[in-house]
Amino acid sequence: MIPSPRGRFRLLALDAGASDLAELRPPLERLLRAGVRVVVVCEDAARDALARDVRGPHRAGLVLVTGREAHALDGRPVAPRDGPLQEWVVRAIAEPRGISSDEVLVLDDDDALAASLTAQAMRYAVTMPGWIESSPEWHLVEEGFVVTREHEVESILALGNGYVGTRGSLAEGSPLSWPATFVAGVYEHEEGAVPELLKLPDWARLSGTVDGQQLRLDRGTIVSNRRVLDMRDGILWREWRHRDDAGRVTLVRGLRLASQADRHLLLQSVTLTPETYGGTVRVESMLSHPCVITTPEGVTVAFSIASFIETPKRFQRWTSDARNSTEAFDLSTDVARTYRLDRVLSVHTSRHSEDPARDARSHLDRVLDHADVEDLVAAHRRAWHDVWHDADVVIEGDAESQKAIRFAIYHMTSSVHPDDEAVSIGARGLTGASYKGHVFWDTEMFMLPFFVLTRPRAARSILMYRHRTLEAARARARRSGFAGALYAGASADTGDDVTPPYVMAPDGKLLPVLAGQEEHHISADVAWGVNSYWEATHDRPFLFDAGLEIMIETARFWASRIEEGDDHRSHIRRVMGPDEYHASVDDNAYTNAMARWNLTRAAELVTLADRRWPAEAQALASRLRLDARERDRWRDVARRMYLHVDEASGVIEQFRGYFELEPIDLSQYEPRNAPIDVLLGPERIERSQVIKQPDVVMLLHLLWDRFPLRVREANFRFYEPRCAHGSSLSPPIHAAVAARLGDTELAMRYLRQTAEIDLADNMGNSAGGVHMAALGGLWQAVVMGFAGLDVASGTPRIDPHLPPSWRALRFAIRWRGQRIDHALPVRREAEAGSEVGR
Amino acid sequence: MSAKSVIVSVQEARCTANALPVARRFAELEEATLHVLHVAERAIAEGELPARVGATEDALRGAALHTSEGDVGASIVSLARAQRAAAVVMCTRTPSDPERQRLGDAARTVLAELACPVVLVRPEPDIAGWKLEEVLIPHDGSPATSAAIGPAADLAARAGAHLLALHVASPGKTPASERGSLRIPRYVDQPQHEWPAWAGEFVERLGSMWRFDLSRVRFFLGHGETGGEIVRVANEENADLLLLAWHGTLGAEHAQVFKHLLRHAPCPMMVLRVPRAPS
Repeated sequence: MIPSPRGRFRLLALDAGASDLAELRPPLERLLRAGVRVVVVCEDAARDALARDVRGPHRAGLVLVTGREAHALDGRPVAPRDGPLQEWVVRAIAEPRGISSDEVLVLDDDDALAASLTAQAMRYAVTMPGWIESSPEWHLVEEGFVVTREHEVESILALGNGYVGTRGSLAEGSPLSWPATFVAGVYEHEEGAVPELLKLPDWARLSGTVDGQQLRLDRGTIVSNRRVLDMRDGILWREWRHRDDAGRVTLVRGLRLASQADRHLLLQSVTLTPETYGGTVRVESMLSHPCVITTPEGVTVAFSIASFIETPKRFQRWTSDARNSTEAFDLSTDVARTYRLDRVLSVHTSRHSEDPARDARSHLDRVLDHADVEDLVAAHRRAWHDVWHDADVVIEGDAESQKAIRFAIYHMTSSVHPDDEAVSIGARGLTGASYKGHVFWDTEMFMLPFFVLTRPRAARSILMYRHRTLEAARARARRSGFAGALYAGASADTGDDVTPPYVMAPDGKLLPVLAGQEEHHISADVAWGVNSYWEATHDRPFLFDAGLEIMIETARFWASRIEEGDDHRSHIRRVMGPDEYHASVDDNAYTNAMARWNLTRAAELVTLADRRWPAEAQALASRLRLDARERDRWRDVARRMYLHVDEASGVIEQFRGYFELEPIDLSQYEPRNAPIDVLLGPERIERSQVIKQPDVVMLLHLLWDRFPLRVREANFRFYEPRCAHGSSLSPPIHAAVAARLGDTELAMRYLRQTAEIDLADNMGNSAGGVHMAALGGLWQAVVMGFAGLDVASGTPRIDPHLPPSWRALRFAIRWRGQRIDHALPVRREAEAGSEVGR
Repeated sequence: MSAKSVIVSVQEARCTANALPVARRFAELEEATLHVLHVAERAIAEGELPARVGATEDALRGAALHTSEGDVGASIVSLARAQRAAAVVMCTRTPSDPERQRLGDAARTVLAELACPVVLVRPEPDIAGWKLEEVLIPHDGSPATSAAIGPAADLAARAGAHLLALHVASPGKTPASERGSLRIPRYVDQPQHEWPAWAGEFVERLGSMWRFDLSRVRFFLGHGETGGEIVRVANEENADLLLLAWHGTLGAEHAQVFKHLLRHAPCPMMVLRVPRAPS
């Protein structure tokens, strides 16, 4: 070994010979991360392994040499090796890169090579496995610490990949901390209660103690505390500088992710730097042993865990074992030196595995044999970059809207698993326990359009959940005395309805919950989702495996659900529309119109299938006992569907008798600190024209081209002031419709109101998770409202109405296998209504 | 003698009957010395105090007696400062005061000058046999209110009292805007999920700032005019004490709730100053 003439060097050459790479790699990577270029002379297999396994930006510092052949990973040419190693390295690698000979260190192959390399690496500081790389417009930042906000913060900063979701709780906990991890589709069914997503142990919990004093935000003094959700990379970062009661200052940095590249992986990395002291620091993780949880229904979830400690003086991996419930690391620290703990978890469940514990363990071993934490972070980042390549929406000129739309895309993407057809997206995704993971009509009508038009494989998986639960929907229809399929108003893993009949409100009143019994429109909503996906993809296997069957069974439901009136019209009685302030109404416009659409579209699709793919269509018709007569009846029932429109004004009556109800001027109750039904009482609200959320306006949004402009305008202007926005589903649809009508000022007000639902927490209930439907609605407001994307004709068209503050709006959609990019400037009249070329 | 002190101001018999038992109970809970103050135009001898205020020797046992002359409010403030009082107990007014807002000049002075909790006791009706068992806590959902009320709520909980947190929904009322406040959910997508979760969140947020056992805390959502709703719930729940966070304003446009409670509260009311937010 030739010692370096200076303490630090910029290029290190290493003749590895046949040395064990596993031993050399950690110090080698620390050197690379510190910016040192490393030349490794090695055999073919080692060269290939290093080229494959060293990931992340620092790999550009690596030069691999086998025989005379040299390959620099920064892409620059290197002259073939000749002469003594030191001389060649200086001439061929160092000098072209501006590195002088006295900044070069060469380590020869000898018995102490690993020790020598490690000794050199120890001269460099331990660092995080990466740091924030994206620009601030991608960041959701929580500065400081307000204890009562913690539940909200945990929801907003949640991480997920559709398989597993984990809340962004503080690793060390706080007086208001609700850390939770959920696996999609794993529910706990307690006796006498509705099923709810199983809450898994707090895998990320860490406790730090400095000479007996716990490191916590609620003790000592917070010098700074900053949490950053980097939405571009899907990583939660943290930087926390803390002064304890003894005046000792500690810097803690951390990252956490739920891998988008390998959905079974969770990862946490923390560095700790005692900035003003040296001493014993104890770090304990609360979950360290292989953890296996089995629900009473027999679903098993297993974690396998590996921990790594890197100190200035050593690298060490802890192998999990079953003997201890916690894992403790005692670090003897020096002042201003950095210490790092990495934890990698593999999660498996019996939903996909016969032996989840074994599979979690073997998966983790397999992963860590080929990758280190840096690799896993880099792979996760690349996977998120792919997501954004498909799904990003760029709004120039409005930073708030830009952040809101990315927040929506981030959380929707985090909630979906494109390859898991047994689960859908619950009302709060995997970000919190509210709504217990239950799935509503929101999924198809609010979230699905985003997936259909940007990530169709994910859309397919969401719809396959409806196919898997079709039998439960058939049974529900039968129990109610109808044919076909009546989907549950709220469902979990089985598709059975999980809506309780009553709820005790905090004012002590027992409120009936009729949504589950009466919101039959969900069957048409599911059908709408199926047709949207079919139109956007022309995925024939899906059509015959699932889509047509759903369309047929939902149409059958409506054909049996209608009542023939004396007026020879089709009536649907005793239902609740999307406006849940009015129960047990007759001829709800939304329900009737969507049922009519469902019946008609099912008949059209069956006819199309007959014509284009007669053999498959015949087989399906035979299996479902569908004949032409039944199809004709659907058309007849649909044609005669009742819908009352006031001829003079063009206003559609929301339900029979609605126009006779008491009009209430909602503005006289502003400002208010509560929903209007709380202030006025549900009985008065039910007797009034006040509505909770868009009902007729929702129809306009969905069936835009079926209504003339005069009717759209008249109905929006009639119903908008009557809407109290008692649901988070309400503002985004108003934003979308107002934008399409050209009222961009009103549309922007509603868009901001939508964004604030989670980001400003003016609802007071983001604590239990973010509002997935509102996020899906926000995407629709931007893409279908402001950009005016309309796919109803079978050809995507845009009719933009952008607010003046937006300099540009860019997004891409996928349409029948092709990517279509849109780049919209602020509307100029002449450009409106142009057809998009493909 | 304890280092802590609780001051009770007694000027006439009706006041003494209601204020003294309340003050004695707080002194017990705080493990504080009870200081009884009487102020007259001309100071009387301490020995005359029991007869002047209608208190038995037993009622005054262990208490330090003080007499003073001049302004009642100024005397209370002076003694409270000298004794570093943990709390002051006084009547809202004497029965002979004009009705107005049931807040006499002395109480106004004390509220304006002192930062410690002030327990306002109405001279009527008679609350003989007063116990601290049910405590009603009107709460706007803000962290500042929790912080102000926390120590007193803790004290009451340690005394074995049950606590009922009350949040009132009112038209025309702007929700608390302080960061970390919990408002009534503006959107109730599904009431069967929303209401239990929100009520639970309300109590848990209290728990994050109040360190006592939350099983003693219940939550209730009222609606209507805030002051009237507090009085209604206090009556229905047989509240023994109201804990009221107060921002320190008695102007015409402010403190409507406070004024309403001064007139109608059926039980003593502990007023706790909300510290001003740093500008």
